[in-house]
Amino acid sequence: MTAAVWRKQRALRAASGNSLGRDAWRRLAANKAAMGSLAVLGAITLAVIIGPWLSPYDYFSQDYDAIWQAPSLANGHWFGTDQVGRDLLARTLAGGRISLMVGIVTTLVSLVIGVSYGAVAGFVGGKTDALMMRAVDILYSLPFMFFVILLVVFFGRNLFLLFAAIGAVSWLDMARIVRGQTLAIKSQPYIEAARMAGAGTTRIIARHVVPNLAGIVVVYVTLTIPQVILFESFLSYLGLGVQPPATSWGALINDGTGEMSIAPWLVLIPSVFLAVTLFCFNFIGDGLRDALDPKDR
Amino acid sequence: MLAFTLKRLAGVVPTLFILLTATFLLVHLAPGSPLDGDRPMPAEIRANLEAKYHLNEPLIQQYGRYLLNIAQLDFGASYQYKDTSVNDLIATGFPVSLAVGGFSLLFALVIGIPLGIIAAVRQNKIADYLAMGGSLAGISVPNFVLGPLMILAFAVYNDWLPAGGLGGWQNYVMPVLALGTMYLAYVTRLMRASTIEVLRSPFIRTARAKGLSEMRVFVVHVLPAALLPVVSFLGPGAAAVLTGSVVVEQIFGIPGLGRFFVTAALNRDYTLVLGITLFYGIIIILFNLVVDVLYGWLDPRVAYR
Amino acid sequence: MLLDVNNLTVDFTTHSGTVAAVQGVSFAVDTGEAVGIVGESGSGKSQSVLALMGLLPDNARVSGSARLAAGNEQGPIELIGAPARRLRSVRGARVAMIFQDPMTALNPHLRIGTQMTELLRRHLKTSRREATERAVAMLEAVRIPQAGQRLKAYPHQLSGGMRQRVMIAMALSCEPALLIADEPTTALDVTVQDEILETIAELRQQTRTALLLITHDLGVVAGQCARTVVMQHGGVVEQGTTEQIFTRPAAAYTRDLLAAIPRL
Ligand SMILES: Nc1ncnc2c1ncn2[C@@H]1O[C@H](COP(=O)(O)OP(=O)(O)OP(=O)(O)O)[C@@H](O)[C@H]1O
Ligand SMILES: [Mg+2]
Repeated sequence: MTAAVWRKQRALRAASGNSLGRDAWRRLAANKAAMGSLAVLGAITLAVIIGPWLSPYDYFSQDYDAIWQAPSLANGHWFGTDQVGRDLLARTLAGGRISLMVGIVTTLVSLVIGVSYGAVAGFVGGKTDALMMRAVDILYSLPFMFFVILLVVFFGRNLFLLFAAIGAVSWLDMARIVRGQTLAIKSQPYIEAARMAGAGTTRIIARHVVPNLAGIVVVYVTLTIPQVILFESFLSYLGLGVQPPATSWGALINDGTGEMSIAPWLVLIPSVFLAVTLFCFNFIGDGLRDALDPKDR
Repeated sequence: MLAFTLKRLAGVVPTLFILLTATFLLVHLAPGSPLDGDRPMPAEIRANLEAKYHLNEPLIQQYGRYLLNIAQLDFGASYQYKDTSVNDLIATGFPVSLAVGGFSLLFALVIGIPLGIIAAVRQNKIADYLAMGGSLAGISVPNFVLGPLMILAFAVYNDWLPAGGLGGWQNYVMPVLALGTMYLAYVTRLMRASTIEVLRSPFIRTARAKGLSEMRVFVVHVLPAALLPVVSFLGPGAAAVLTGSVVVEQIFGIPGLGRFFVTAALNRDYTLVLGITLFYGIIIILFNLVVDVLYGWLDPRVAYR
Repeated sequence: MLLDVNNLTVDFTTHSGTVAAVQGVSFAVDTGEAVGIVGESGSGKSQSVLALMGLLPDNARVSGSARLAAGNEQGPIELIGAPARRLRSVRGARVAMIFQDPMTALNPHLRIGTQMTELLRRHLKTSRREATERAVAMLEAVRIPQAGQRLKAYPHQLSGGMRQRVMIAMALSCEPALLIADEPTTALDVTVQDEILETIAELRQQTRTALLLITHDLGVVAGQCARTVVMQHGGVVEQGTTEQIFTRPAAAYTRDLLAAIPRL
C-alpha cells in the first residue's frame, strides 16, 4: 500500500504543472482503455447504489434451506449463497457500497486536509513552511498501516475511525504537491496584483491558488480512491475493518477464504469485483497521466 | 559523504522520537485500561497488576520508563502469552517474516528490473504492451485476492504445492508470489519509465557521440541513472512488503511476526501490538535511512546539495 | 575536402504526420577549415549535424550523402547509412561533438575523469595511466586550474563555463579531424562566451582541427569562421565566404539576420 502512495506521487508529479485543458480531455476521451474503465466503473457504482433496492434478498438474512447454493439463474441466487444461506449478490452489492463509500468519503476528507495544509504552508512560507513540511516528512516515514491497526486495537473497531485513520494518512501527498504548486503560483504577477489590491491571504488562496489545482486534484482523486478501497479491504480482510453484520469486499473475501474448498464462488466473486474496480481506477489514472503529460508516451 | 550520512542520521532522531511519543500518548488516551478484561477484577489484584506494569505512576514517569525500556530494546511482556516477553516473540517471528518479505522483494527486483528495461527498449512494441498490461493487472490484484486464488489453483484443485505452514522451500513459493507480484508490477513500470527517461537525456547522446559501444553506453551510462528511482522505491517498498506480509502470513498460516500481530490485534494484546508496531517502525525508519544514504552514494548530486 | 555533404534530408515520423526537418542540404568543410552554420531556431541546423553522426532518434529517416575523408590512404567514408560499427569508430575519434548545454551533456553520475578516460581508452587504446595523463594535459590545455584534482570532481561541482571547457577538452582529446560545436556558448554567461570561443580557436590552431560551428549569432561567425552556411526552414538559403555573406548578402533572409546584429 505504501507502494501505491509512491506510484501516486510520481503520477502527481507528472500532472503538476500541466493544466487540465481541452486538449487533455480530448486525449483522455481518445483513450479507449480509460473510457472503457470509466464505463465499467459507472456500471459497478450504479449497481451498488440501486441494486440492493431491486434485489429480492437482503444481505444479512440467513436461510438455512438454501446454504451453499452454487451461482445459478434458476434458483434466483445469481451469485450463490454462503454457509448460512445469505445471498451473495446482495452481499456483494452491500459490500461494494461500503467499499466505494469508504473510498470516496475518505478521499474527499484527505483532499480537503491536504489542499488546505499544503496551500497554507506554501503561501505562508518561511519557518512555518519548513516546520509544516518537516512534519509531513516525519509522518511519511512512520509505518502507517501498523499505526492504523494500533488505533483500531486501542480505540475499538468502527467505521468512523476507519475513515479518520485512513484519511489522516492519505493527505500527505496532496499537501506536498499543493505546496509546490502554491510556491510556483505565488510568484506569478497576478497574485502580486491581487495582493497590491489589498486581498487577504485566505482570499488569494481561495480565488487564485485553488482553481489552478484542478488537474492535480482529478489525478489525486482517481488514484487515492482505489488506494483507500484497497486499504479498507486489507483491514477488513484481517477482521479489523467493518464489523458484522455490515460487510465490504475485503470482509467478503475473508469470509470466502474459509469456505474456499467447498464454495469457491464465495471468494471468487468478491475478488473479481474488487480487482476489476481497482483495475479500472488504475487505467483511468494512467490515462489521465498520459493525457496531462503526453510526452511520456 | 560522511557529513551527509551524519546529517541523515541526525534527521532520524526526531522521527523516532515522534514515533515513540505518538504511540505512548495513543495508548494512554485510549478509553479504558489495558487491565479491563471480560470479568471485573478484585481491587487488590488490580492494584498489584497496576504496580507491576507501573500504571499507578504519574504519566511523565511512565513516559520516561517507556523511553528507557525502548532505548534498551526491551518491549516488555505480552499480556496474552503470560510468560513470554515481546522480545522473545519478535525473535521467533521476525526471521520468518524477513525471509518471506526479503524473498518477495528480491523476486520483484530480479524479474522486474530486466522486464522494465526490455519494455523500455522495445517501447510501443508487443513486448512493451504485454509487460505494461500485465503489470497494471498485477497492481490491481491485492495479495489477499491472489493468495486464496493460488491456494485454490495449486493446492486444492491440483496438489502441487503445500497450502500453508512452513517446511521446505515449497512452502515459500506461493507466499512469495502472492506478496511479490504487486511489487514486481511496480518495479517493472518504474524501471521502464526511468529507462525511457534516461535514454532520452542529453548525456546519453554525448556518450554515443564518443563512439562507445552500445553495451558500455547501457551498462555505464544508462543503467546506474535508471536504477536510481528503483533504489528510492526500496524504502517504501520494504515498508509495504512488511505490511503485506501481515496478510500473507495470515493466508498461508505462516508463524511470522505479522501473524502474531494480527492475533494480538484481534485479542487486544496491548503490549504485543505496541511492541510490534514500535519494532516495525524502528526497522522501517532505519531501513529508509540506509536507502537514503545509499541513494546519496549513488547520486553524487544529492550528497552535496 | 574533409567532409562533403550532399542533398542531406531528414524526416521525422510523428503521431501527427511527417516532419521534414532537413530538406536537401549540401555543404563542404575543408581540412582545418572553420565553417559556420547560422539560421533561426528550428531551421534544421542541429538535426543536420546529428544526422552526420548517426545520432538521430529511431523515428528519423535520413537520406543523401556525407563523405568523410578517412585520414589514411583509403578513400572517403560514407557516413549516411553506414553500419553502426563504422560510425562508432568515427565518432569521438575522427569527428567529435560538443553540445549546447554542458550541464546536461555531461553525465551527472560519473566523475569527469571517468568520462574523459573512457573516450581515450576506447579510441587510442591506451592504458589507464596514459589516459589519465592525457586527460590532465587536455584539461590544462583548456586552462582548467588544478586539472589533476578536477578529474575526481562531478560535473555539478564545476561552473557552467568550466563544464564546457571539460567538454572541449574531451572532444579534442583524440585529436579529431573535425569538431562539431552545436551552439557551444548559448547556455553560458555572456562573460565566459568569448573565453570559450577563444579556447576552441587556440586548440584548433595547434591540432589543425576543422570546425563546424552552429550558432544563431552572426557576430560569432564573423570572428571564427572563414565560410558560412545560412539555413532556413530546413534548407540552405545561401553559402559562401564569411566576408561575402557579410558584405554582399544575396538572400533577403541573410540581410534580415545581418540587420539583427547589434552594432558596436
Ligand atoms: N524528434 C523529432 N521529432 C519530430 N520533429 C523533430 C524532432 N527533432 C527535431 N524536430 C524538428 O526538426 C526541425 C529542425 O530542428 P533543429 O533541432 O535542427 O533546429 P535548430 O536549427 O537546431 O534550432 P535551434 O537553433 O533552436 O537549436 C524543428 O522544426 C523541429 O521541430
Ligand atoms: Mg539546435
